[in-house]
Parts: sequence; C-alpha cells; structure tokens
Amino acid sequence: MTKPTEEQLSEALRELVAAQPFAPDPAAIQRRGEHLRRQHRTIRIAGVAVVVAAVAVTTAISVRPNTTVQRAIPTHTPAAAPGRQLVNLAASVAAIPAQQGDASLVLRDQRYPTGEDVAVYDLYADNGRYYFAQQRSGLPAQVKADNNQGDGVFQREVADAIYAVTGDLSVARQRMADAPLSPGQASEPPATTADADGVVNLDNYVWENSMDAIVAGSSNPKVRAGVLRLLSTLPDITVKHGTTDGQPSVTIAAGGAESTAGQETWIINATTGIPIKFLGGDPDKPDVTITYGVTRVSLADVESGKF
Amino acid sequence: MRTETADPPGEDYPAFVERRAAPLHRTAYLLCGDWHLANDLVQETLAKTLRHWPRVQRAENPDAYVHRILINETRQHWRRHRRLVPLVADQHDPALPDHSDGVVERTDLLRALLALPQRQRATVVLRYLSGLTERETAQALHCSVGTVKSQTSRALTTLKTFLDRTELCR
Repeated sequence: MTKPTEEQLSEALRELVAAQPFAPDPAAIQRRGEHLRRQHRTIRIAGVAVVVAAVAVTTAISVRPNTTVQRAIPTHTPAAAPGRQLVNLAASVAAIPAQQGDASLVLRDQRYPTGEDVAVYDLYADNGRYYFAQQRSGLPAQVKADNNQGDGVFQREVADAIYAVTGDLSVARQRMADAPLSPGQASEPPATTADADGVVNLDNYVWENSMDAIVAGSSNPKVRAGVLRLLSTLPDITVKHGTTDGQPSVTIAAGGAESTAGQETWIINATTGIPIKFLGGDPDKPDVTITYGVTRVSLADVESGKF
Repeated sequence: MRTETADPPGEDYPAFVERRAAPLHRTAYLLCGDWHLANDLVQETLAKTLRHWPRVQRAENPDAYVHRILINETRQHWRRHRRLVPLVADQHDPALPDHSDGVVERTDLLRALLALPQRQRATVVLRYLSGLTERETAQALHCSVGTVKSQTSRALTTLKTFLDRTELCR
C-alpha cells in the first residue's frame, strides 16, 4: 500500500469529522466517574465479605464427620459459591445428549425502554458459517446463496468453549480471551488477569467472548457446559436461582472485574443451560432486554425450507 | 504519524478531559457513525477514565489507554445492539460512489468505512484519525501488531478504490 493512500485516508477522515462541535459536560462526567468508583468499591467489598462467609461456613462444616464441603455450602445463600454452582450445572449440562442437526437457529428479540421491539433470526452453523435474516422465511435464501457473514470468531469461541468442558481451565480462559485474534497470533501485550492497565483484562475478555459462544453454540450442550465452566472462574460473578418466563432459571451477573460497561446479566435455563434472556444495564431497569428462542436445525433443512 | 497532541506529564483530570474530549468524540463517531451515540460513548469513556485515573496517569501511554476504554465501550454497544439489521445491508456499494458533490463524497466514505468489519474499521480509525502507532493500536484492540498490519492492509485495499475516485474528482 502506498504512502499517498494512507495520507489521503488520514486527510479524508479528518475532513469527515471536522465540522462537528462537542461540548462535554465535565460535571456530569465527574459525577458518573465517582459513581462508578463507589459502585466498584461496593462490589469488591461485597465480594470479599461473601468469600469470608463461605470460608467460615466451609471451615465450620468441614470438622463434622461424613459431611462434604459441597453439601455444606447452603444453596440459598446468594453468591456463596457461585463458581461451584456453575461447575455443577456445567457437569449436568455436559451430560445432555446432543441433538440431531448441525446449526443453532436463534430467534433474537431485542426490546428497548422506548418500546422499540426488533425480532430477527441468526443461524450459527457448526462449521462456523453465520447467516442472518430479518424474517424466518428469509433464511433459506441466505443459506442457499451461502451468504456467510461470519468471520471465524464465533467458530473459535465455540471451539474454545468445547475445549473448556474437559480441558485445563487456565488454558481455556486464555484461549477464549484470545478467540477474536487470528489463528496463531498472540495478543500484544498478552491479556492477563493482573493487567497492569486494569481496564480490559482477561476476565473481561472471557466474559465478553463467552457471551458470544453461548449464543453461537446455544443448541449444543457441550458449548453451554464449557461456557458455564469458564464463567465459574470469574471472581465477581453472581449466581441466583429463580423462574423466568415459566422456566426454572439461573441468573448470572457480571461484576466489576468482568464487565467494563456497567452491569450485564444472563438468564439461562436451570436444567439445560440454554440462554433465555440477556439484560444490558441495571437488571431492574435494563437498557436492552434480549430474549432468545433456540432451536437445533440442519442447514440442509433450512435451505429447503423444512424447519 | 501522530495527529493529536502528546500527553503532558502530570496532567490533572479536568485538563485531560478538556484536551481529549473532542478528539475522542471524533474517533467515536467514526467507530459508530452516529454523533449522538458518540456523545454517550465519550462521556462514559471519560467517566471510566476517572474511575481508573491513577492507572491512566501511570500508564506508559495514557492516550492508548483511554482509547482502549473507548473501544471497549463501542464493542459493548455493538454487542447489545448488533445486527438489528446488518450494517452492510442498507449500504450501497462503496465501490460505486456518487460524485455529484463533496457532501456525497464524504457520505460515501463514511458508508464505506462503516461497511468495513468492526476490527478493520477500528484499526483504520485509530491509525489514521487518532494517529495511534501500530503498537498502540494493537494494545487498544487487544491484538498483535501483525493483526493491525493485516487489518490495515485489507481495509486500505477496500477503501483505495474509493479514495482514488475521490481524488480524481477534485
């Protein structure tokens, strides 16, 4: 590529944005920044308190004969051992037999506080191909034309989730964090938990990319199990059992270490691990609520319209 | 190539906001294609910069650090609102721009830019608008320098036809 093209592009981009004024509100920014600081401190303190409580319970129970640590931790205590809860769920999800088919068909219904509601269809094939249509009836043409809109990232995230089912979790975390990178390339600097820069660390990448994987591989129990094992490693995760849309559900919320963009919450089926909803922002007042409808299908059936 | 001023040592937060807000706003706009959304992304980026201010001050390159926050904010937005309709679906072919006037040229360039895959778009914006080096861009995007090179090359190839035609029409 010649230098003039680079200079042309630089000049053209500057021209594109030259005329737009911007007057930030420093007081509002300051308030928001202070709020984030307080929120982060609260999450950290709460996390430490929970760990201390869990250790105390475990220590107290472990002296009793014939009582296992796993049984000793009360399941009704919110976030007492969220990681362990997810590992247990992962084990049962991994044992679910795989369904026939070679793709996950996902109805994605996005609702906003403004009342806007958009329902669209994503089709994630096991071979990494990704097709999109605004209507279900539009998918056969997309598959027939092989209008693949995937770039390989979903495929790597799904593969890394499957690896996490039985693989070394430290390795699995690094692989999932690096999934968006081209194969064979390492990040520079490498993502680490103790990222000196602090803002975007390994936990954040694991959370972000696992969110992709659990949707892209939503009809594959191995992918869901692997994601749950990956999420079990996150330090600030919280796990809560309940009922959502008539289904027994598990609500998994990212804390300060994982989500740099405010709160994010996944709600999955408590038995199958299939995603039910995603909440962006305050879960009591989300700025977006995404509801998923997941089906296992075969590409051939979609192409022929028989799905 | 550095198009923005370097970070003065020991700068306080209000001065940092005053100096960096407008350039970040321009970068955010080219990442998302919407000035109002760019406002929100930059306000949130600067608020998070305050949360991490001691680290920002200690960072080898505070500018690259803050761009990392902005990229993450933008990525989060893409994730929450992605593909309501794929971006490319309502773009006309960037290789066939309408040259009727300069406004159309700029609109075409923006469309061509927004039609690039997210990572290519971010790479181009950080390199050629924000003036980050290849290494700084790699840090901001959590990728290797090699990836920055390859993404840049692909993006420039896509945009070159457009840029050549634009140049001919001047």
